[in-house]
Amino acid sequence: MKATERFKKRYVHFRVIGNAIVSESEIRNCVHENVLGFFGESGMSKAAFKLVHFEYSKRMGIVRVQRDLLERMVVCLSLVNSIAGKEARLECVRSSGTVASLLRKSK
Amino acid sequence: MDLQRENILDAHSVWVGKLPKNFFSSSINPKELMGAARKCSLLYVPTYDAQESYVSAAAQSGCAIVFSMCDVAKLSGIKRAILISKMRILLGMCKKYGTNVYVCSLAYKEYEIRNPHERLVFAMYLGMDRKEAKKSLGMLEEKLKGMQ
Repeated sequence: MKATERFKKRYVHFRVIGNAIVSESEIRNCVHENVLGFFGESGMSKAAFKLVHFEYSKRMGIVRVQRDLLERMVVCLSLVNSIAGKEARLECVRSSGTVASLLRKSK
Repeated sequence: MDLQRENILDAHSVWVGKLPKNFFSSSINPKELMGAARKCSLLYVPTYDAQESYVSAAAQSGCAIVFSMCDVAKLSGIKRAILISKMRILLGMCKKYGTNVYVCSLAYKEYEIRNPHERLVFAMYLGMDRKEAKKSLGMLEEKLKGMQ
């Protein structure tokens, strides 16, 4: 595949903030439900959304999104105000073109 | 600098209660809004109703209209969609009259505080370009400097 034909993607690093204890499945469900609610089924498929990495111990995760829809994804994640009804939210930390660089900077 | 509804200990935030008198005003009454748009530096309309009267008065007096991220985050589904739509219409009117805009968190709790990047992207999502969005984030500092 030519480089110009390749699907352009960005990765967004987010973390869970708040004192409430939330389980891994609750966080994963929250991310999926909010992205689906914000983009809709069609938008979510166009955005090529995927939760590519999640570390419960660090309360952080990385999502993949199409480059053109990066800003919308940041808005979507930052508008999460509670996780499973508990006082916690998702904060977007940074975005990058590779997962490796996000993991390196998150250390 | 961000603006919060409650007294949260955060270095980059200001509590609404600590602002000088006649600096911040919040109302939904059209008459009160007109008066506040002439007197105050920041005007918060919780319903985000776009009315030419107070928007033009705010433009003449240099008052900035507040857009809160927490108001949107608290809602979901159709209610959130309607609120964002109202915000976009109000922002369009602000652009038409040249009224200043200030995008902030207006958080009740510490975890609700949004970082500057999130506020910048939210401002762009509402319909501002990057330059306008950056200007809108620094509006509180600008107004406070102007007071001194």
